[in-house]
Amino acid sequence: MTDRIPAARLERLLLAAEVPNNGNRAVRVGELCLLVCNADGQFHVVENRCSHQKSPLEGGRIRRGHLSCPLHGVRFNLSTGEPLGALTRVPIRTYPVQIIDGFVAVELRDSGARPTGG
Amino acid sequence: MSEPLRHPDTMSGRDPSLLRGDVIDGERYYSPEFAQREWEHLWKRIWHVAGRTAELPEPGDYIVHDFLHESVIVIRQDDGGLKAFYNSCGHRGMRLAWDASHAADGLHCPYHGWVWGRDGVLKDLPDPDDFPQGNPCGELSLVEVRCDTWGGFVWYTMDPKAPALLDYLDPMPGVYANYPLDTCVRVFWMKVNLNTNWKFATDNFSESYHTRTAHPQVPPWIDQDYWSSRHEMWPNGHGRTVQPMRPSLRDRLPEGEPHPFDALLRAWDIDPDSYPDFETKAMQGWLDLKAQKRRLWKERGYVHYEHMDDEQLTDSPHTVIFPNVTISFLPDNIIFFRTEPHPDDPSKCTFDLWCMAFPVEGQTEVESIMADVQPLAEAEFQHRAFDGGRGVPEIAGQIVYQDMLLAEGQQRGWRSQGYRDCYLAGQESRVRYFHEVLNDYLEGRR
Ligand code: FES
Ligand code: FES
Ligand SMILES: [Fe+2]
Repeated sequence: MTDRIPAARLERLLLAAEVPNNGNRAVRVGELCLLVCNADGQFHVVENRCSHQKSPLEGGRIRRGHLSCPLHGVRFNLSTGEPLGALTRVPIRTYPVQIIDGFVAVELRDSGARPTGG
Repeated sequence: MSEPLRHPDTMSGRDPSLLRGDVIDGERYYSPEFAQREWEHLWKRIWHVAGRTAELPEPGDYIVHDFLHESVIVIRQDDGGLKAFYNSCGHRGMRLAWDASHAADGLHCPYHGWVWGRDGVLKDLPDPDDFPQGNPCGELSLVEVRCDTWGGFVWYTMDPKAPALLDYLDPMPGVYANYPLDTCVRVFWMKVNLNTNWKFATDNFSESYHTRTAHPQVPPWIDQDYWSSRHEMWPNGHGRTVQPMRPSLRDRLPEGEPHPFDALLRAWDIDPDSYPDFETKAMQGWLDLKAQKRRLWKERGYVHYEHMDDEQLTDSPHTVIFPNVTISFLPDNIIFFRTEPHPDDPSKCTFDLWCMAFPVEGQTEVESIMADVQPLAEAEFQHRAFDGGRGVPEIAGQIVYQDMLLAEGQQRGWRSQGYRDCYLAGQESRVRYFHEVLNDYLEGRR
């Protein structure tokens, strides 16, 4: 690793209270399409794009910590991004979440590049 | 004291004179030809369990049941009902759904993007005008499969002429009507790959003769004496052994060793030391336990006891539903066991173990019976290879694990030229009965 590690910044995405229990909301940050998910009060942020055939994941049903892709139904573990089942083995990108002053926030790196998982 | 229900069609499951005496040959456990006949004449005709109704709480929720090379989707409809379809796209046959999930606006085929509504009717497709034979939208449907529910289980059959589910299950729905089966929570859910034919489990669960040898921990807890058990079988091929959940009188734990029955009595505020001797404790304590449960169930929140009869409050009716489902209806737990054949190798199968518990208010954990204490919540699915037991540490040492340990050895023995037929005890009569009903299916008598 010879590359300089780009500076991290904490991006506030939206108020946690705006995401209903077991619901999700899509948020754009520059080029990034993120999905803020509330899984039984646990907040997760994932890339809003399915690793199978690129469907937005917004509106996908959340149950017991898993998000279902609205298109073909692959269920992703919101903590790890790992899919269940046989349709795809590719995980979706997940972002570590912090709650700051009631906001759901994630750490992004100002590299100018797209995130590795995207 | 309320009497247990005796169905008029009940036959003794301990009376070999009710049997034809069909030979239980070894070949049926490993021959691909025999397995193919089972597919044609048995599996295509019986009712299969696809899952629990609790897996499908909302419209659009679906489950997928793969069986041999077939696959069926069951999906909750907008009106709350269920429909089942073969898992094959009406365009060019692509498998439509892979695992249980939720269909937001329908089932989207991942190949050319046809969209099938939750009701199975084609609702959208690319280039609808490019079909000289006519736009299929709203015209084509997925091929429907009959489905129904009983006991909190979702069932389907591939046979349009099969009897209705409740007739197929008869008399189980009546026999177990006192249990609020759809309220129980599946706290442990595992599928295990085993190196044995699927019939191993039905044979095994049709008798308790093996218990003293294979499950030495059980007799102090569930009476294993065949004379105090009731062995029953019914014309549809189902059967059960009802055993009192009290110590067998001829099995004693060494003096001083903590006794599971004492713990059970204490849990219901009965002093095990109040009985003059072991026999009185086993026999009178068991009666006292019924009375005490009747007295205390309500204040303790055991709402599932409300309609149970005295037998159901304390006993263990271990029940085989022909051909491959076994359910133990315990006072506080429902344990579901099922084997299904491997798609290509009749010497292999999968074994489903679902441990369910009736929720009691205030409890956060429950004894699952086959997988120790588990949180009182719907469990996630786990699929393992048995691997001589190493693959399933969660159930190591449990009754069902001890059964699985026997499976491979019996499969080997069935393939030996030294095996010709069984030599059955009276209390094992249901083993042969199972094969006779199976033969009826295969030979066109049913
Ligand atoms: S695009 Fe998400 S499952 Fe196919
Ligand atoms: S096979 Fe399903 S859309 Fe073509
Ligand atoms: Fe057993």
